[in-house]
Amino acid sequence: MSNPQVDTPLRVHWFIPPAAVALSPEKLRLIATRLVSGGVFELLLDGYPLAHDALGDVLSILRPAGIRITLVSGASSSETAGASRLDAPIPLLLDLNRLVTAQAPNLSLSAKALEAHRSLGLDPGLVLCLLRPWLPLLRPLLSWALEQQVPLFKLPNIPLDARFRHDFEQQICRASDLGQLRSELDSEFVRSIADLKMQIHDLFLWELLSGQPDNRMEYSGCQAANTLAYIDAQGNVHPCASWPLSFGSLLQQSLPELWSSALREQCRQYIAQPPKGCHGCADWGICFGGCRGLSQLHTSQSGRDLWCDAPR
Amino acid sequence: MGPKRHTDIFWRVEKQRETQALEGVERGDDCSEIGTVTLISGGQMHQLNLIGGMIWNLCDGQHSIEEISSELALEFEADSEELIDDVRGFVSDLQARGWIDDE
Repeated sequence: MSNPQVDTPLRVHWFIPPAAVALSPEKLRLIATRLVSGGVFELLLDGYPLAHDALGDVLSILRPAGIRITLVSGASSSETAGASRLDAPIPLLLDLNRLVTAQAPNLSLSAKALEAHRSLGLDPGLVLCLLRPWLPLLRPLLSWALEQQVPLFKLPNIPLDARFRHDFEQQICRASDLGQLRSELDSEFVRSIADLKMQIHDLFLWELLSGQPDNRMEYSGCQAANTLAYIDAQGNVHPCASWPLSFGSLLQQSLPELWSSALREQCRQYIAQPPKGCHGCADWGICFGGCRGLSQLHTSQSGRDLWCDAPR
Repeated sequence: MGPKRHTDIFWRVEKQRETQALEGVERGDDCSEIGTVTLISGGQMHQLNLIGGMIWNLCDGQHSIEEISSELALEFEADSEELIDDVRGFVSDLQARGWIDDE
């Protein structure tokens, strides 16, 4: 079945802000309980989960249900202390947007963070939201990640949360940036990092970095509001991290209720329609418009993925 | 002993879609494209339709091919003897994908 439809999302991205502004432990537990009863398969706990005292409680609800959990950490002292309190190893990703500032790349800081977590028995991967200021760092970061033998380098979709709102217009990448990246990441370089396991959300970036653009895994288009969901710091549920539309709060409704809403259905219907900017494109059957959430930020793209320069 | 699902595979029943498919079958609609069981294997998502999902559900190691066929026959008011080859073929396909432990 090429375009699976599901009752509730399978993969959820949940942003937990610093403890001072996070929901109460009771509310975090309620969300965790609703994720379990919603039958979620995979959960990315993004933001500052390790700095939160309620993490142990949240994990004790999620783990018995068999949900595959990945934690994100900025490797601050409180987060590293939180990692040391984990009673069993959990896949962890170090947040390069917090560890490596675009203005002053300091890989030694990231190396220390890797070492600190490895000494705790963890084997952290790396995650980088590829915003424009980080573009020149992508090549050295990939080479470095390979040297460090990290288990995973994740390039996720760009979350529209408070972290990146500031100056977002200037930070978000466009098709011209991809052209620049293409000239920097030549095929020889891409071959040299073939042993680095990567998870790349964006199709255009995937084409560039996979080294095998004709060997695309089965892809049935944007999965926002279908198999994907995003939970923001307040517990509101969105189609995905890149789509500023709330279906409602998980503190008020269950996942099946939110996934049965008319708004969610409208969102899927919108995704099913080819954007005006994709009309006539020979590759529609390959990318299906790419990222439909971010594309709404720019009317100039007529709904096309922001990385896409023109219909092919 | 019968066919048994591989324990590494994450799967769930899509209850609303299963109900939708059952109602469709009742009306005589073709519901073969409605996915009622979702599973993830090797990082890829797959869906099984109503009949495939029912077979999958019964692949718990406790039901033989004959017993699975009988259960389906009961559900769809069919002759279990006529279903055995289809069930065997479907289970072989699941085995070839590595989703079912070899008997």
